[in-house]
Parts: sequence; C-alpha cells; structure tokens
Amino acid sequence: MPTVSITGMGCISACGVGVEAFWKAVRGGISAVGPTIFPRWFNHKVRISAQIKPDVLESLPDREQIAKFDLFTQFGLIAAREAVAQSGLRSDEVAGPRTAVIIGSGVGGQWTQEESLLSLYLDPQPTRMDPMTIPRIMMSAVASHISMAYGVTGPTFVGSSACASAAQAIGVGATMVRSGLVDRAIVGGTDAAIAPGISRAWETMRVLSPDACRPFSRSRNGMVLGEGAGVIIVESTEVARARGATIIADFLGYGTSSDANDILRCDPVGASAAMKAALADARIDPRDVNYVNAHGTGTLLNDISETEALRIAFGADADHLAISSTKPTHGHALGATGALELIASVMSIRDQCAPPTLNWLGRDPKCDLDIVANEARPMNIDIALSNSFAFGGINACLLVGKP
Amino acid sequence: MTMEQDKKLAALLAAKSADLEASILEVIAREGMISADKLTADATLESLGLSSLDVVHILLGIEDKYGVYLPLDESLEKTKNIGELIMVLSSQLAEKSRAS
Repeated sequence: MPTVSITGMGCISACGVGVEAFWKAVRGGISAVGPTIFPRWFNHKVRISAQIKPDVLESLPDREQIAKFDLFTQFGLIAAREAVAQSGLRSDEVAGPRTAVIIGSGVGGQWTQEESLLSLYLDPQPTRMDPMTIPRIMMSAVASHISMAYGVTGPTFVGSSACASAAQAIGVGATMVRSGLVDRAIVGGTDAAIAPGISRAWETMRVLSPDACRPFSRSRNGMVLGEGAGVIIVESTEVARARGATIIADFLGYGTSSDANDILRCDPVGASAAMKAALADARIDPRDVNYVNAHGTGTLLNDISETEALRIAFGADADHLAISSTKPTHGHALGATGALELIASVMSIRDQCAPPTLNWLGRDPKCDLDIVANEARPMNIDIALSNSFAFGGINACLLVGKP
Repeated sequence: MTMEQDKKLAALLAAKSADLEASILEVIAREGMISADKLTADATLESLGLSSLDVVHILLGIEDKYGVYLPLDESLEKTKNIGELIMVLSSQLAEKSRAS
C-alpha cells in the first residue's frame, strides 16, 4: 500500500502566526492564555482564554483580500498559505483534481452568526443583513476558499466532529492519498469560537477553568478555550520523492471510533479502540510509540478517562510513554486542536524533545502515567501519537514518525 | 459578582454558617426540583435522582444567587450526599469571597 508523508505544515494560534512561533511557545512552555477581549460582555464569569488578538491579523499580507471572510476561514487560509509554501509545491502541481482539501471545524462561522443575529434581534432598526452572511457562516466556506486560492478541483469538504474534527479531517485526507484517490491532500482544522455568546454557553457547562488549565494534575478544574487553525500537506511518499520534496515526517496511521454511549461523558473503551485502530493501521507495536500528545483537556473526567484508555490500549507499555498535553499553552482550539497538536507532535520528533504540560501541581493518583510536567524533556522520539476525543463520543488518533 | 450579590454573600458568610447552609439548600431544592424535607445531610445524590446535569444546574443557581462561578472540580465530583455537597459549596463560596 502506498505510504503517506507530511511535506508542509502551517498554523495560527494565540502563540502567534506560523509553526516556528507556535513551537517556540509550546516547547518553551510560554502560555498564550490571558485576558479575553470582547466587544461586548454579557454576564461572563470566565474571562481568560488563548485568543488571537485582532492586531495579529491586521499586520498580515493579503489582509484586505481575506478580511471579508469569517474569522475561521481567515485562520484556515493563513495556515494553508504557510503549509503550501513549505511543501514547495508549484502552483501547477497543487492545482487540479489530484489534490484534496479536507478541513475540520467544530463550530464554523460563529462570529458572523453572533454579530448578524445580535443586530437582527436587538436593534430597533436592524442594519441591513449582509447578503454574504450565509457564505460566511457555512462550515464548508473554509475548504472552498482554500480550493479557490490554490485551484484545487479534487475532493473538497469540511467535516465536523466537535473536538475531533481536525484529527478526523487529517485521517480522512491521508486515507484518500493512501487509496490513490488523490496524490496529496491539504488537511487540518480551524475554529474561531472565542465569541461572547458561545463562550457563555461553554461556561454554563461548567467545564471551563476560571484560573488555569492543568491537565493530569491534582486540583485541576477545567479547560481554557483556544482558537486558530493548523493545516498540513499529506502527500504520497512516492510522489513527494519524485518531485524532490523535503519530507518532514511520515504519516503512519489513523484510528477512529465512536463510543455510542453518552453525548458528553467520555468512555475509555471507545477512546482506547481508536488508539488500537491507529496502531493496527500503522502496523506497529505499542512499544514502538515514544511520545503521546494527549487530548488532556484539564477537565476532571477527560484526564482520568484518557489515562484509563491509554492503559487499555498500551497495556504494560503505557508506563514507557512520555505524555504531555500542550493545551495549557495554546488553549483548547476545538475543531482546530487536533491539527495544532499533530504539528506539535511532528515538531517533537524533529527536535527530539517532548513539550511540557504547564501548570502541573502534582500527581492525581487517577492519572498515574509519565506526564512531562512543566519542563520540556529532551528524549528519543521515533513515533508520536496525537489523541483527539470529542463530545458526542467521537475519537480520532493519529500516528506520525521520523521520516 | 454585582455589589449587591457581594454584600449578600459577605453577610451570609459573616453570619452563622447555618444561614449560608439554608441559603444553599434552597438553591439545591429549587434547581434539583426536590422538596426541601427530603434534603437531609445523609441523603445521597443518587437516591434523590440528582444527576451530574442537576449538579451543573445547582452551580448555575449558585451563580445566579451569589454571582460566583464555581467549576466542576474534584471536590464536587466526589460528593456523595447533601451534607458533603453543602460543605463543598459553602467552603468554595467562602474561598471565592475572600479572593474577590
């Protein structure tokens, strides 16, 4: 079966624009979490997040061309530009029917939704609704705009499975490449959902921490929202070699499962099934995996369930894994998070260094694996696993390896 | 929290703990839709049919009443009965009030 390689990566997050800025923060343990800025507040109690501030976008090239799109599409285009540039693909190579665009998003055009409805519902004389409201809100807008930007005429769509959206999109795109349906796929995830209404909705679930995200730590009390996009070029290894591309990492395996259990509560059996499926897909033994970039949201239940799932999937080898959650640095970027964390996994292989889990205060007996706490750990990493588990019980796991 | 909520909570915390407990009990009864006479200290959440979603509603009721955001943390997850729930909520309210 043809193998798949990663030849380009791009991202934007609260850590900055670009993979190097992202990795510098993630590896260095420099958290991008800070006070949220909103144009208007309702009764919000949680006022921290890993938010991309408007001035970051204003300084970017092509600003005027993309500013008319919803923020989630802008993020996707910014990340795609970096990924395509790094891949070295000529415009005539990326264009056409042999390239796919598969992007994940959990939420879609949230800012457009909130701002347009606010005026409609509350203004005594609402401003005229923008006729481009629907094409801004629709979740598939980001995939369409990427396909238009690069002339891609192959399979193009957005998939949504909440916080597993990006990992699913990457896995599906890589599977298309492996099957020979396309030569390469522009894959990843994007979300721009730190908006007033939806942030308040997150608060009412009581899963947001009011102070800090502390995955796998004692005294953890929830997650911190993030946003951004990660885009990756997955390409047939043979095609990439033939064009003389630099291979950043090998894409080894994808596993996905559904708990079929509860809309919110995670199930370690379902999560472990996705990890096992990824290992089987990559045809590797559990002991070959060195590092896990965990879903690690910092909620009480996710981290216990993920620990149990790792023990089920890896058995005795679970104790040999170095595990970190990078969410305290870049926030939980929802439908983008799986892409950002796969990028962190690839960079951890490049630099042979596991990034830290910030804000860790001490061991929770129910999270008794080897957590890379507070400080980065230089170590041998041949193969890394990236986990994404979503509300709705949808699980997606990706394996990447040294080229 | 609003100044009014702040004053109300400070007054409750300063008063006898029984007053704060009664005030929290009222939130639990309303949000859990359970008659107050069933809310004895040793009544388990399970026996009262209080699910984790009910606990979230109780936290939202606490926020409405006192303007304080309490996340779902380990201490809350561990509570088994009404007595423990009241103890955890009152100590977290006291902590938040000190912090603000």
